[in-house]
Amino acid sequence: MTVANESQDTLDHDPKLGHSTLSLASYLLFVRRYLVIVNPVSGQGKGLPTFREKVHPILMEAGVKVELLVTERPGHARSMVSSSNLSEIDGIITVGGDGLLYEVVNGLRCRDDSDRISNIPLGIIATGSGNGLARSVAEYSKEDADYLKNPVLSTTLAAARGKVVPVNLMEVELDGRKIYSFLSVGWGLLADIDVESEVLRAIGESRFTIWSFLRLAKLRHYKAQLSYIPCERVSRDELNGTSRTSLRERDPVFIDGEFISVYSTCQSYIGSDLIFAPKAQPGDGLIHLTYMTKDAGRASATQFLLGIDKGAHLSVSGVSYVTVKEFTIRCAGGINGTITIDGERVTGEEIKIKISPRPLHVFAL
Amino acid sequence: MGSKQSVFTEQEMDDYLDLTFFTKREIELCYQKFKSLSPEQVLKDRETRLPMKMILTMPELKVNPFNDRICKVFSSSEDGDLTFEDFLDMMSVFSEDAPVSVKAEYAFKIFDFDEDDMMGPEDLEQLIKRLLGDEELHARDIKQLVKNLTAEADLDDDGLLSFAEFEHVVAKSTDFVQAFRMRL
Repeated sequence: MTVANESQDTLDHDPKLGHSTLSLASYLLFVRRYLVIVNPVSGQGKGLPTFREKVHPILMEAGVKVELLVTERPGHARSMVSSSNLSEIDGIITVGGDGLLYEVVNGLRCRDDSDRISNIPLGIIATGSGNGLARSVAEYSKEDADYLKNPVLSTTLAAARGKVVPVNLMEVELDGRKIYSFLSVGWGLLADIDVESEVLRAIGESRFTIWSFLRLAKLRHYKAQLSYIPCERVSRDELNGTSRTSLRERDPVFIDGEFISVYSTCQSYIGSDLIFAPKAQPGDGLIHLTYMTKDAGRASATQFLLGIDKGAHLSVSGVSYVTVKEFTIRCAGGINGTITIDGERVTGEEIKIKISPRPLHVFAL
Repeated sequence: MGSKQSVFTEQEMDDYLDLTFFTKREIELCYQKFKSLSPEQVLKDRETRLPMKMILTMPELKVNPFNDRICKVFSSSEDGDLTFEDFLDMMSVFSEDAPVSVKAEYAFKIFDFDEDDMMGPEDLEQLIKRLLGDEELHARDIKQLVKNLTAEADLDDDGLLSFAEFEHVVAKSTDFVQAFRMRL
């Protein structure tokens, strides 16, 4: 395992060049250096051979020099990324699932030199073990069909090509701590199920098991205050004939109640084949928020679970769906029930989620 | 005579300890609970059979959507009426100390409404309807749910769920254990 050596930044780039132009220029004139982090356990244990046989040759042909890190335990990627010298790195690629990228993103964003480094493009080589972000990105670039046929090839070509798209990132403030999430933040029913379907996620299957409807026998609800700032993208026709979109906020909404479920995402797919927010657009700055209070009842909760499989969950009666800029859940004395951030369980008294002003930059075709 | 005498002989108590997941004290508590449903009847004959209607007045069972099935499964006379030993058996399986595999075994029997040792589409439909209680779900949503449940659990593709397939799918659910629990 090697990492970038201590050295000065010797690449003499014009800092005014946009990053995508830089990528193209690099492709033609400079050698690009990618840090590739492989989870050897991913893709049913074939993470490393997949990288060596199917990924590395394509990157090499594209003029990419690879610094390889094979992770030895959970948390390894995060600690390496948060402390290494990344001044000569043009991209960080993860070979594995969403969990590995989660470590990288959180490791990057907690750095002091964050501003510059957090714009390092990221790539995911989708080995099939739970790749919600890779699937979303493929869908945004309308490359869904090719991605599904061969996710490893499709994502490798994207990394090799070097074109990036901005992708939503959520900044979560949990009792003073900052955590970054690019898939989902949930509480209550779906969060409970999320945590339990870990086994299914690890082998790349749908995130929510429909058998969790058994819990409807004792449908739990949790007291808290949910508040949010509704927001939508509006397009305006400019005088010069072009049209622009911008975000339009509305007044904050406060709901004190007993909730069955609150589940939010900032991408379209939250799992390899689980589309939660079909209307999500890349980097649109919106969080798609759904919630059900106890008034919704078991029938609605069942329809919601059923609907997720078909993408019909957003129109179930009793389920509220709104796009927001930020939302907060607070409950004095601690929020009861499971809270999950990208499927990881957390606890706290107050959790505030907003879109990060600095989106992720992800390689896409 | 100062010491409290057990209602059971040492042999009986040993048998109960062997056959259930309970401690001596818990077994005694079970007996008290059973007796409280009809004290005169139980005191007169310890091996009496209490009718299902009476068992279902217990607060833990009263609101359970499967209460009649639970009684039928544990009833040695197969009609839902329970002797103390049937009752003890039931409380033991629902206790905290019973392993998930045992709970799953009985859950399967409880959900096998037509008692053909498989959970088929009709059983699943009944299960859904019971869980929803008063709330209504459109017939086509119920059919869809049955399809999804079967698809997710059916490993040998025969359209029916065997015990093994059922256990495989509920063993993952921590809430399942919560739902199959009664406190003494």
